[in-house]
Amino acid sequence: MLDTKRMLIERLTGIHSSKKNYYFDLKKKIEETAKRNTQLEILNQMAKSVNIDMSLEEMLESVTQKLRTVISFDQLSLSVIEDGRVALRASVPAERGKRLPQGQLSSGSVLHRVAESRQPLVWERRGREGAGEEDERLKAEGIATAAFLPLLAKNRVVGVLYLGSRDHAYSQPDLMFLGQMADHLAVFLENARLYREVLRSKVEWEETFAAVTDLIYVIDPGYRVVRVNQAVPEFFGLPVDQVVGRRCFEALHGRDQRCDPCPAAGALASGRTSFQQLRTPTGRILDVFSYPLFNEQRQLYGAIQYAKDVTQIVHSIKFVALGEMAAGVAHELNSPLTAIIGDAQLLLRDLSPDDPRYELIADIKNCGHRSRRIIQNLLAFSRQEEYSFGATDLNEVVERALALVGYQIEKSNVVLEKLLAPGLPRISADGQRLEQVLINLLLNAKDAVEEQEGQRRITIRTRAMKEREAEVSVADTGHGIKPEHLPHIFNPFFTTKKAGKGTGLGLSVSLGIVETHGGRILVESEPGRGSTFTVILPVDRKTAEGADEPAPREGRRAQRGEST
Amino acid sequence: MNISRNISKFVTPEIIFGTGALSQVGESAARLGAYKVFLVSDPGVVKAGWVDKALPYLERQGLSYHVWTGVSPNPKDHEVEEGVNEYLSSGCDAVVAIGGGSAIDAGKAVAILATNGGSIQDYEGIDRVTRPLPPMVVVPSTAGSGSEVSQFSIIVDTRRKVKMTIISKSLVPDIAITDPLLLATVDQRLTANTGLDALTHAIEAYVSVAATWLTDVHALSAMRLVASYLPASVASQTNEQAKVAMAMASLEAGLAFSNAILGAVHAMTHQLGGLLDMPHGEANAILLPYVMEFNRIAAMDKYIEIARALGAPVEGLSRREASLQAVEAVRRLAADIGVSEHLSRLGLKEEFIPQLSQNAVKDACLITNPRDATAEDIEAIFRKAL
Repeated sequence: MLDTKRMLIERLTGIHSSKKNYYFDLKKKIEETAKRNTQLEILNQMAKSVNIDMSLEEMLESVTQKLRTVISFDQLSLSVIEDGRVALRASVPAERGKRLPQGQLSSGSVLHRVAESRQPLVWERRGREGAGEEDERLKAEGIATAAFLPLLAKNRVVGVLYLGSRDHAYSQPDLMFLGQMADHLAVFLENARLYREVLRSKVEWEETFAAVTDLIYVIDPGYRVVRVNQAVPEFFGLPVDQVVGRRCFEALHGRDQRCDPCPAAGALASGRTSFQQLRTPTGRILDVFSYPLFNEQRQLYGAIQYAKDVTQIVHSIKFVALGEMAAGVAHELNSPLTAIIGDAQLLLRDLSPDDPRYELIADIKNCGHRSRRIIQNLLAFSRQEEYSFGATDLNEVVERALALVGYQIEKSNVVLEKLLAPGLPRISADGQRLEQVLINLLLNAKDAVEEQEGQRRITIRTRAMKEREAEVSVADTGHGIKPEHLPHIFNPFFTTKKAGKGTGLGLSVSLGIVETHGGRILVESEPGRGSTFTVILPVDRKTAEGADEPAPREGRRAQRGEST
Repeated sequence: MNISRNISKFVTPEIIFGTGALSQVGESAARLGAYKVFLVSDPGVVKAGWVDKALPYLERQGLSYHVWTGVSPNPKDHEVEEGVNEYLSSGCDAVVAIGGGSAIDAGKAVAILATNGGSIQDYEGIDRVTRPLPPMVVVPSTAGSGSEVSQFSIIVDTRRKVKMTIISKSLVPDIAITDPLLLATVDQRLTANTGLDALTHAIEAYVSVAATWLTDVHALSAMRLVASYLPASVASQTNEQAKVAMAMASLEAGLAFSNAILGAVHAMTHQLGGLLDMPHGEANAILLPYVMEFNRIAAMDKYIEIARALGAPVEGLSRREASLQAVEAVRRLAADIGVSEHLSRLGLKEEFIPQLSQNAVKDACLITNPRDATAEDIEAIFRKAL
């Protein structure tokens, strides 16, 4: 009673109490503020780490020390949950991580519970809330309080942050801060995932870009090439570094100013897709599509150039058109020619060669035959008729061709040299077609040497190459081909001969035939010194068997004639 | 029962005293760091023009203010609640109370809730305040309550119909400004009642079991001042010397009781105020001699000192007779200034007495009363004073 009274009096007179002091209040506030500032610093640092290239582990390591000043923990770990599987991403202390379960997330795990509820969970050793499977481990590790926080990204739990302390109880403000931290970590994880996804699709696109056989390149508004796919350097035969960084018209088209017309100019000026057909310095025809590129502000920052090599297609179209025309003309001319030749022959039959008219009519007949050959050439060019391949002796083809045109050549005062390799392997070919090719080459050679002063010589030669190929070449000592013409000589209708003399079809038709045989034509030419056309044909494996290794023995049969 | 206390504590605010001291109100508030003052007053003080007089002093210091006068005598819990809502919504950061005990107690209560939150009931009792209060400057307009220096605030719980005593060192205002000019405006009856209220404070503090030499000094000084100047003060509203002396008496009595606590008179009048909204000073004045009769045997020597201080003849009298002179002196003084001797005049009815007595024994003030008092003892005193 007395004690109670004394105690009450002491309380009343306030011996043990003082006016509440603002200094303490302020100190507490300052401490709280300083702690909050550190927390914000940590969050800020984490947010910044998202933008710079830092791994989650590095980021956590960088904030751990500061984290200890604002929140007490003895253990910290971050687990990532994906498709019901859990993977540890970071652990402090690191060695503890080895003891944590990984793989399929068990439904008895506290992580599972947190992931399901999306709510933070605080476990206390003496609390009612159990931590399921982790309960025993937490107790064994001497943890008094543990906080598990879900990492939520777009309402999806992507992981769980765990903090455990041996002596600290997590307060509501602590949990709020940890919640904010978890949010940042979730953003980090989500960003990393999105980055991986973007990277994957980027690589996919880049591979696609590289795999396209058409030409794709990106230019900036100043026509500088920014990127190219593999097809670009291959097509132009240039190393990548001589294309990228240079202006497209310089690097690709060999010009010192913009191409005219320029497909990109349209796109860059109008902001709309544009198209142009361009001819390269090497005579290739490119369909170039230009697609303008815009950034997020809808500003034009370049153009994608998509170029397709349509040389073949263009030629085919011309062939088809020409073929139809040629077929029509040939058909129309055939009947009158038949009458001309037939009538001339009838007349010759009744005339003696001494008759002064004989020569004239013979001339009519010969010209008729020549006209018919031209028509046949036209038809051969135009006809898509089937080839009849058979085992063919290239030397025989040469002989047949010479039988047809040899006389004509020798008549022009040209030395015709024939070097045929004996025992050539047979090739699979349409003999008549090859004959036509050789006639074309021989007549071209004749035309080339005819205007030449001095020695006029044409050499036709056959050879076997390494068992797999056979070749026949026609070399002349003519005027040669000007370098600027060289890329065009196989184009249909390209001719340097006088009007009326050449159709511009010979080489084009010849190349078509040789390519149909799986072969190729090589051209070497030196202006003023002559040209050599070499037809290389693959040897038919079956027919080639049994053929001897061709010995380089050269037969020689020179014929000399005089022109009239 | 006498409880010896070796260690004592004496708490006091900064005290600014003097005629015209009201002028210090702005500077005082500014010095405490105020930007916007919550000025608590009551309609009477506003009517007397003191608030209008104080505002320029605040303005001169560049302080803005919000005036709240929603206080009635015996401030109620709901008034305090309205007050704190106004305080918070008007963005105030300091309390200036100008008025009687009611306005000052209400200002203290608002200050508690402003920084501690909750309802005022949460702070009933001793030391329940946990956070510092906003700066408080208090200017009493009546002598007697002592609230300007005390750690008390009395607020009526309207639901329970009891006065809640809130005791905390934090309730001691930071600065008390006593300007006798303000005390001069009250009417005769109020002058008489508040004067006897101050005397009650002085006597109860003096005989309190928690009295210390520092409280005794102020208590005795207050008694002498009251005895010498109260009649003159009641007699003339313009007797400046008497007004200044009564202001001193009130202040010293306040210092004494705030540190030594009170006794049975206050334990009983708290109940009358709660139940009947009875004027505190007058109820004290009526009850004081009856309680003194009851307490006398507990502190006879102190009673002799009281008689001396009140100017009663004690020389040559027996201890008993000398101590009785203290009671007589109080009765004579009350009679001189026309204070009633009976509580029935203030509305007390016999049927209230048992309940009032039951509540009185639970009042904190009874703890320091020199004589142990049961509910029956209190009942007997009430009946005598009826």
